[in-house]
Amino acid sequence: MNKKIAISIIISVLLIGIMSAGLISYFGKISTTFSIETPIFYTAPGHNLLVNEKPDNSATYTINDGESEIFETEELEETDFSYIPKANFYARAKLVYSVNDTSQNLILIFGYEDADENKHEICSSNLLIETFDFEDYDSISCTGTSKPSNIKKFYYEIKGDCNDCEYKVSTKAGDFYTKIELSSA
Amino acid sequence: MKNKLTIIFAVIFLIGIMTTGVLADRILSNTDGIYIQDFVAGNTATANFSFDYFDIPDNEDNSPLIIKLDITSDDQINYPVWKNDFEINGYIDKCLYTILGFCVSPSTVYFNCSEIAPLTIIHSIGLETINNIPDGTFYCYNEEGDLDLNEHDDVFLTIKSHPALWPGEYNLTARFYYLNDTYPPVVIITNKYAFDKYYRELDNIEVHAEINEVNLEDYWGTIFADENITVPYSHEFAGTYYFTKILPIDIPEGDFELSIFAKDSSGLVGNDSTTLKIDRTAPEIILINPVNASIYDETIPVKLNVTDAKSGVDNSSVFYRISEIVNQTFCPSTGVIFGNYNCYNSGWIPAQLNITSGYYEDEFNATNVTSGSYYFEAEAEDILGNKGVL
Repeated sequence: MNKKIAISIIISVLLIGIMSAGLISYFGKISTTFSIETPIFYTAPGHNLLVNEKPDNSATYTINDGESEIFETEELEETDFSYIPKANFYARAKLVYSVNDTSQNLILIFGYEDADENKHEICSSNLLIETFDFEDYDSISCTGTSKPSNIKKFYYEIKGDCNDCEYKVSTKAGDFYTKIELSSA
Repeated sequence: MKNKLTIIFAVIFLIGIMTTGVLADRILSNTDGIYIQDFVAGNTATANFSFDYFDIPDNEDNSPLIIKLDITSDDQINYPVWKNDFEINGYIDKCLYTILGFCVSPSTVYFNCSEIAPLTIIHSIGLETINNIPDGTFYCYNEEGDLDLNEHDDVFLTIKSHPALWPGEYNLTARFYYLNDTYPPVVIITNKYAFDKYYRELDNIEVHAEINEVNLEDYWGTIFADENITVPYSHEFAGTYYFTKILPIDIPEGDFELSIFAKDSSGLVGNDSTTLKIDRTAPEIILINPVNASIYDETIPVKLNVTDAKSGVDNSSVFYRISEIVNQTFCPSTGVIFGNYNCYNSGWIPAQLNITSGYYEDEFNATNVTSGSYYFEAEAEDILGNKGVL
């Protein structure tokens, strides 16, 4: 029993040494807290996707049939999402031509490109275009199914979904922007 | 027995807590901040804080300024901060002291922050390699950004965030990292040439040294003879440290290491050495001529082989003398013996070095010297004054 006590004491003293040696390296601690909000991705001329930055100018793109217009961010430091994102789409669009003037869907896609330049869709949603005048569409959302990883770029893809039609998409008009607002699912 | 163990552990735990409290050093005063506004993921935010570093016990001048930043989310389990979520750099506005709120001697030091391991922090007092940097931790430093006593510092951070950051509450903590001094002082003896020659007891030696160290605390010299002899610091002038010593009368002959040491506040010691050569041996005198028991007439050729293995013969110190032997007694330098008997003593006569032969020579004129037996003596010194006699 005395042996056990002696061993216990020795181990404890060693632990003290370790604790003490680590603690003397730091001094002067200052702390604060802050909040982070989700970003907004704005489409811009040149197929750019700006992060939290409203474009000064606008551009209009034509989409025929099943073609796409893809807006991409600059390359970012590779990282992962620690949460499952939800994309809230905003789009300014119209039909130019449609067989029998029927309404057509646009597919709105939020995705990312990894370090190997492979594209991955996070989620998508359909937007029904009914008019031949520009309309501002909002509150279209979708939710991812997993936490994206190895992200180098984000993209907003607007894709036609018809056999014989033509759309036009505008990046901004007045205070309305074709954009994606992120939130946590 | 269980109770005994419990009590023992409790005492040890308390000792640990007390010890860690006692071991804390370096204190920042008047800390203010950290100020940062809420921001959107993907944007760049700024943060700032300030502090004073007063001249109080435990605060050391020229202390490395290394800031460790930790960013964590309020829910590190589900939404942890990862590498590449943030990119941080910044600068420090330093103010040596203020007068009526006005900063005197301001300067700005820029620094980068790294979250990649291994990270080697190189500083004038040492270096440290950090092999494991957790996610969300950054080390920021610049070797020029030392903490000087009585300094006020304003720290500004630029924090670039990734758009993929979880929207929520985060914590930012700044700790000041203390770097252990691992570099000993650099000592250079600048007058080693002065020790190419020999010295003897009671000579005064002076050692000149340059000492480079941020936190110099002590310096001294030592001669490692049979017993160590301290060579004390004398003074400093124009960046050179002077150490002087009158060699003790009993310093033995030999070659001894002479070292100058310098110690910093961390206890690290640096040194430089040279060799102190002590010569206490007199020249060796070998009589070539006159030959013992020989008979000479009017001229006695004098020839001496005088050598000194160490410091060398003082050529002006080689003399010889011829003294009449009266009743088996040598005639003294007074020329009078047994009270009133006049005898012959030549007095000390110099012998000159013959460069060709290498001997010390002279021609003694014995014309006025009466016939009889005479005693021949010689003496010589080395350049240190060690005297030998024949």
